[in-house]
Amino acid sequence: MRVVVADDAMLTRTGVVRVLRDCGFEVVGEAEDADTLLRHVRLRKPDAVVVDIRMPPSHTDEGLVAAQAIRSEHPEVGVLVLSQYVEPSYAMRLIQEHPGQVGYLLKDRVFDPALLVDALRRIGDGETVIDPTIVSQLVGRRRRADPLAALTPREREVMELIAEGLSNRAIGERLFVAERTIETHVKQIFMKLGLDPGAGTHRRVLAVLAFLGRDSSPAA
Amino acid sequence: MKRLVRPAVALAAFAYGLVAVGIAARHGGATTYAGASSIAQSAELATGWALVAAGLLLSGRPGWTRIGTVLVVAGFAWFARDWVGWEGGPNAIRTAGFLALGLTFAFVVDALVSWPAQAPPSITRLLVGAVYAETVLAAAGRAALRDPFEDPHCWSDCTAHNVLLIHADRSVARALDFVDLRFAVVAGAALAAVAAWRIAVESGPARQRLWLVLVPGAVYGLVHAATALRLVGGRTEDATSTSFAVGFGARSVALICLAAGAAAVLVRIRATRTAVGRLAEALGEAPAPGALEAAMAEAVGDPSLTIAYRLGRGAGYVDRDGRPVEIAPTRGRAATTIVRGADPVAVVLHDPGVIDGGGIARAVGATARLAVDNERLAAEARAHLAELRASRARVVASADAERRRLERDLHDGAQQQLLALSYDLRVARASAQSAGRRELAAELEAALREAEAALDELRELAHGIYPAVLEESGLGPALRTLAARAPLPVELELAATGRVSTAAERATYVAVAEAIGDAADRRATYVWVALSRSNGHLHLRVRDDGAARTESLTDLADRLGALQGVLELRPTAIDAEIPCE
Repeated sequence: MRVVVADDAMLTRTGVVRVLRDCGFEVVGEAEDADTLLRHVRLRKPDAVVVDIRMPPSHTDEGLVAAQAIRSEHPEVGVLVLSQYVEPSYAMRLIQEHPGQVGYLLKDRVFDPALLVDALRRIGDGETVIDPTIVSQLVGRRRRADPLAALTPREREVMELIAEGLSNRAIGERLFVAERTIETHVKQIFMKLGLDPGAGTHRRVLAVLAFLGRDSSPAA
Repeated sequence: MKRLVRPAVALAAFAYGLVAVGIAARHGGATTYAGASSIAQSAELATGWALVAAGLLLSGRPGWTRIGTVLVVAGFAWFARDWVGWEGGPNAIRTAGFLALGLTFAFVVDALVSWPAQAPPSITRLLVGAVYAETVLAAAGRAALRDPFEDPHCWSDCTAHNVLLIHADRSVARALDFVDLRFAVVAGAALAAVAAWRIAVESGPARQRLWLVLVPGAVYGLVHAATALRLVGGRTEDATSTSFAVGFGARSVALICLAAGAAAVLVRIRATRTAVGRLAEALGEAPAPGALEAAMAEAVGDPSLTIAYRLGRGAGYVDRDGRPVEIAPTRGRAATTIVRGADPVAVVLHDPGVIDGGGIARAVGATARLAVDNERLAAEARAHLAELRASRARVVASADAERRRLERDLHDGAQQQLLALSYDLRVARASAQSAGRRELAAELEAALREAEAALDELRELAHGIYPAVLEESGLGPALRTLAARAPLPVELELAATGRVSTAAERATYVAVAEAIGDAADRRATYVWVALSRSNGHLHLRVRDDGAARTESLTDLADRLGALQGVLELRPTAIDAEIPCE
């Protein structure tokens, strides 16, 4: 898999490049800012891009903007966005327009080769990857009336994995359960939460994250 | 001695008018307007006396003396026609009268153009000069060259003998007449135009006073022009003809109205002075702040009046709220200084046409100085308060900037290095495992876990120092993260507020963070936060169900005070208004 890496912090960038190469990926370009990244993508046509959210000139969300641009112009290129913050709003922005073939990971994860490889592979397969920490922050938010109270513990587990972007098959593999069983769980979960189940794998990530990220409980 | 001048002039005008009209009545039946009918006599008398009376009234007021004198002389000159038409009277007097015929018009033009209000542009002064010049030149020309006997247009002095005649040149005299008549048409129209223009240009209370004088003046100018036009058309002036008599009547009425208007303006000015004087007394004791300005504006009749107070020694002027103010007079804005001894203490900015500065300064007098002093001290205090607030805001902003810098350093420095360390540890662990060194691999694994824990803590620390997402994405995402990590349920109702100033966002964020922490301390089980924006302010409301609060949130109060925001604390509620524009 051919990958371009973009991060203005040299330590991180070279570290990511090393991990990727050690795991058998071909790094065809490195960039320190969004413009250079876009140029690399146009010229080298990689399979995926790993980009930090915070980049020059304003060091706010250039990486996110670039990710959305890449997904619009080059839909065949997967984008993995890295952030040092657990920021659900960024994740939502990322998957709002182009839910498939994108991922949002905390930078710490990136140095675990197994995780990085898995994330890039899933992105390459067209899935969505959301860092589990984001999901746990959303789920762990204290509320007066627990919106997940109607779910059984198993269903909660499944729902969290849905929020992380895993497909039914991947969830089944993770929990050592048959895919069909997972399908049944998913239908139940969506019905209990009042969400639309037929939205497709990508849209459902958005639906669940939006549900978890609500500011106030419905019947408070 | 000076005190006797005006009454003497009044008496003289009274007598003079009677004499002139009397002569016209007896000897000017066909040669003067007054001789033609008793109505005309009354009109002529009334006009002349009115002009003199108004002129005398005005001349007693400083700043109006010149106009007053001009009107007095115009009043006297008004009776010139009677001397010209004195059949059988001394030729010298008749000649003198003839020379003086155009003077009334010239004096009225002068008075109207110089009427105090906005300083008229130089082009209107040109009109005055032109009229005077033409009057003098025409008079001089006629004196030297006109023989009434040979003048086809003469009607009132055909039997007189021009005592100043040098050489009777009929064609030159006719040419003079020709030019004079047409000039009269133009000048009359110009007078009307200037009068209309002066009214249009003025505004506010000054306009109301101006039109009392300028409208009659304009009418006078138009009738003057119309009469001259008729003569241009070939008619000979004739006091017994209805149309000319009506013209005379119109001119009389216009001038009487003009005189009355002038007197009315004067009376109003006097009344304003008195009102200001009364106001000053009423305000003698300590008034409410800002009351002096409002009361003076009302008394003077100028709603745009403002007072600027002097700050300390030569430190500039501020308005009643302590904000700096420019006191240089501009077009439409006169500045009158109020002094205490030799030091200026305040400046009144007002419409120049409404009241002259001397009047204000005098009328304010000693009794109002206490009020002025009070207001000045209050304005000074407010100016200092504004400076204090500004410096507080700077302190807060610089502390925040420092924290931001710290967060950035952590992000770019320590966090990056820990990441690199964790990577190196992974690599080392991986090679230890593949070399079969199980114990080493286990120790490296433990080290890796510690590095990751350190990273987590560092991230939390950085977020607590300064939530970077606040600056990057605004209050919405930042408050949601705050709510997600809170130790108790936090419900948010966030209306779309858009981005606002850094100081306002920071203050709001800190307010919510402190409110949540405070609620947790009071063992609440639930916090509700609502944020909206209107009227240039962010409105924040926080409610919780904890124990009643006993202490104030001083940090929050300080921060909001520095921004001139408002904080209202209740036992389990917070309401804050944060200016954001």
